Amino acid sequence: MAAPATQQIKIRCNDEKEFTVDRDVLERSVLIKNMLEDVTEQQDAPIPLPNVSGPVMAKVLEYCTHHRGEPLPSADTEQSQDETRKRTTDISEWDQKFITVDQEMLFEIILAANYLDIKSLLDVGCKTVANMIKGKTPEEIRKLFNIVNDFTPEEEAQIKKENEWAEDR
Amino acid sequence: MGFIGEIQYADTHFNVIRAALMRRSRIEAKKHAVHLRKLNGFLIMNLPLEIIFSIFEYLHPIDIYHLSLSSPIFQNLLNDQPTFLKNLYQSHGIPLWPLDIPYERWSDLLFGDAICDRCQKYIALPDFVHRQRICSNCFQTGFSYTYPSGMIVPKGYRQCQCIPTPLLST
Repeated sequence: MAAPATQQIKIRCNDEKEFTVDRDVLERSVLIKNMLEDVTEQQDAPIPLPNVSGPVMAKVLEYCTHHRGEPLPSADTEQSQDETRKRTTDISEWDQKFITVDQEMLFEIILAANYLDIKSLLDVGCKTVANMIKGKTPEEIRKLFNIVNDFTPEEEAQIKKENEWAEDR
Repeated sequence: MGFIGEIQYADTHFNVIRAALMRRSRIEAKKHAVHLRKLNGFLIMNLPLEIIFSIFEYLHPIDIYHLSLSSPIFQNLLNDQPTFLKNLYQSHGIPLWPLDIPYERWSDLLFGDAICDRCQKYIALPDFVHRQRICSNCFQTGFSYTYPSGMIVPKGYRQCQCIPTPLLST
């Protein structure tokens, strides 16, 4: 008589932190969705997620809860998007607010979204990083990613030299 | 130092196309700017390669050119993926590099500084026939011309059917 839509699922992160979440929220993750479909009988043991830490999972669940009920992108829509090859970096207002975290957290969220197979969250993360790089000069990119200019002057001269097309002839 | 619109001369080195492209993408990126705390270390390289490339897919070829100039790590990463680069160029409607020159040279020709390859001093537009940037000064002093016989060459006309041969190899 139990309604499957409100079924509660327990998950455990790698720092022993446990979450109890509605099943339809968790099913935004294709990984967990497939896992739940494979296991038919009711289980009380929490699902272990060894690659995700508690604070990151809390953030991911916040995203999944906000987007619950939205249709999951199917393989067909993905195909048509690829065909147009129109890549925009537009992010919705809520997502933008959600992703305003420090950079370490941003990369953790991207990794978690990749592991849990949440395509929309992965896209938001990638677009955010792309927006950080867009329209920047090499010097600004170095500043952004905290890269030391490890091209030595000799190497830089070498690049220039390799680029001398006339010499290649 | 001067400004074309809001863009500093020094940033764009007189390459008008590059300046226009960068201005557009800066405005676009500003709309979705996310203010993040400063990154500690080179975290982007901790991501799996497939994610790094799915980030790069959102970028314009000019951003890819700037990335490869920013660090040898990015440079090697991108040079190993000619298929990715080809697809990216095609999806943005930018002509692919001719087979006789490498990708680095082509992207430099399109998006690089508009400075003469020879003297590194004067402004020079890309010369796609000769696949290099040569200022008018160097073009007259540094090359000998082999004209096809019987060809009438107008005075002061910058020949593009002849092949300039460098007098000096640097």
